Amino acid sequence: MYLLVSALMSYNKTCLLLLIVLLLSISLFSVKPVAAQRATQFSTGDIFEIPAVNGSIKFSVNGTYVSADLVDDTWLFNNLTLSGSRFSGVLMFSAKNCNVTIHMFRSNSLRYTVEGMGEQVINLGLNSSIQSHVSEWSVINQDSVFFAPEKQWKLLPDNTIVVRELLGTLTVVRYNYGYPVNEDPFYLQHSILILTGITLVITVTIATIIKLKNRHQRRLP
Amino acid sequence: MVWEVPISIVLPLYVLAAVVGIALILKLSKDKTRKISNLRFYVQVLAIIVIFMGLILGPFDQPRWAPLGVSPRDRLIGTDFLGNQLPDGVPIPVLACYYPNGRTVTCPIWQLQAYTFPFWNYPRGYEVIYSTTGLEKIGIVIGSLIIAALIFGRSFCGWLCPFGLFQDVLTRIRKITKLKHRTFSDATNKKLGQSRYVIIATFMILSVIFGSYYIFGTELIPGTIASGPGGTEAGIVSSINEPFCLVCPMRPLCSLVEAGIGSMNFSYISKIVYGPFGIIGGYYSSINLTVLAIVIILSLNYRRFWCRICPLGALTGLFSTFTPFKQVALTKLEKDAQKCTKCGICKRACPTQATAVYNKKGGDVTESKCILCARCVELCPYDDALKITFAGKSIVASKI
Repeated sequence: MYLLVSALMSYNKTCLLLLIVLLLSISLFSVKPVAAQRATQFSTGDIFEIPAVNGSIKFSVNGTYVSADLVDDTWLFNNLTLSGSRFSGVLMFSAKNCNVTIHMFRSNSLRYTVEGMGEQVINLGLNSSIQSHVSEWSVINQDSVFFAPEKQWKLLPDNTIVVRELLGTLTVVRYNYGYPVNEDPFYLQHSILILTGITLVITVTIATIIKLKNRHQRRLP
Repeated sequence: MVWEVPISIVLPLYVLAAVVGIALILKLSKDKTRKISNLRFYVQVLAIIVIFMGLILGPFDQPRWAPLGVSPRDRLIGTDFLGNQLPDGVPIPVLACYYPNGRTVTCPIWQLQAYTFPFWNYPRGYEVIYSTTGLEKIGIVIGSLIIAALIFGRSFCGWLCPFGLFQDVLTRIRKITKLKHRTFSDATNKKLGQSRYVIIATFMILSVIFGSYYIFGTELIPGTIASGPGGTEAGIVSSINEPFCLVCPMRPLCSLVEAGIGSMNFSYISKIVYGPFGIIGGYYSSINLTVLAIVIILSLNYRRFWCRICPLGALTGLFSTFTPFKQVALTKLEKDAQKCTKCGICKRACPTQATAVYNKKGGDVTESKCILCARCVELCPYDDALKITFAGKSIVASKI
């Protein structure tokens, strides 16, 4: 980077201008409007009890939610975001006769550790009107064992997954054949490709200017 | 041991250590014929730390390692920085595997193979949904490769690649054990260089054939659909989708390093998972091990043997030493025809047996085999006869 900058500085103002344009482009793509929300913070010490079915839920990382309600023995977390993740979404989780620690939550997956031979009912907040197919889902443990559907787990019509009598760290994941609906503007959806293209054009332009300048200097007596 | 020191403290310390180390080497190295080599060795070791930064820096509120998941570093660098467009690490032309941990940069060969599939998020890409199509991601990878190659040429191979360091260590072992040093004939070496392009073309075609079901909806090779009981075939399908990775000699080294430091579940690489390609563990096959063994034996006899046939080096060379890229490449090896006496030291010193540095009369003598290691420059006995330039400015030149 030092070499690049010093090379630019030692040439003309055009190079400097191109560098400024590049930096502005980078800053433009990194800025994203975020709506203000009143979120409640939780820590790894907070336990979400489900006394009626002898279960509990906690998290291995800190995070935030807008609301957390216990409805029909199921915790409903709205706008749940775990520390270190940019994803925010709805999670419905019920733990029956077991204690669960959630490690990771994404739009299409959840990783958690189960203590106690019980049952977990999980809904990742997918649109329940569009029923997913069982082949899109997997339940995997920490040793890469894929558990069989209809035996250790099953998919309900409203896209809820029910996992039974499994222990250890489990990952429930939905492999999505299609691309997610992204409401970001075009330039944000494709910002890395655009940025790569801009950087490539700038690199070639600067390199060409340097080459022409060197050729011109060599011709001078 | 897990460090909990924040990245804002650790990172400047690494930069400071790097700068002080480089300054000390430049100041204290007395032997002029080893000065650049010592500096290069130090930079190669630093590169290992950066490439495997996930192994060295603390988890920063992330789980230490994430089985079958997005790695902590992936979140920090891939997902959080690049969004969901390219969450698999930054493509840099060095052999550095795609793994659940320590992924600061990612091997572009793996990315090019994997992104051939429009629906790459099945069955791989756990927890990842891309917002970009495979074609877009390939565009990003090739664009990044061209930018890197135009700016730095094949110096990635000479100064940063972990497998390059591994081969340099083998050369040092050969010297210590006084094993005989061998060289290929120029004709053989030229054919090896040409074979790189055949290798990469073959594996890209194989990648498309093996993934034909996901690309065209037709299975060209039976058994390549992930439909086995309990999804057990997912492992083999995801491996043959990236056929070069099944033979790459760097793959076992990467996983062994990560497992050795405790950042990868050792059971991943020690248990037998699936059979047709002799896969042992989830991360490399018996083919990988065989190729690695052959490369080790050959590298003990021929310096930088793998670099002569490396498909990644071929791509970097293609984008920096062939027209039209050569016209605008910024890093070059240049020769002063008036100062060169044709003594031939440069030709003998070159670890990849590049010949242009000796055969060409003068001017730009960079060729696709040249890894810009500067060994010829530090051994050349004539002032300014050879030099590596960046943007026309001399970075390092030969001295008496």
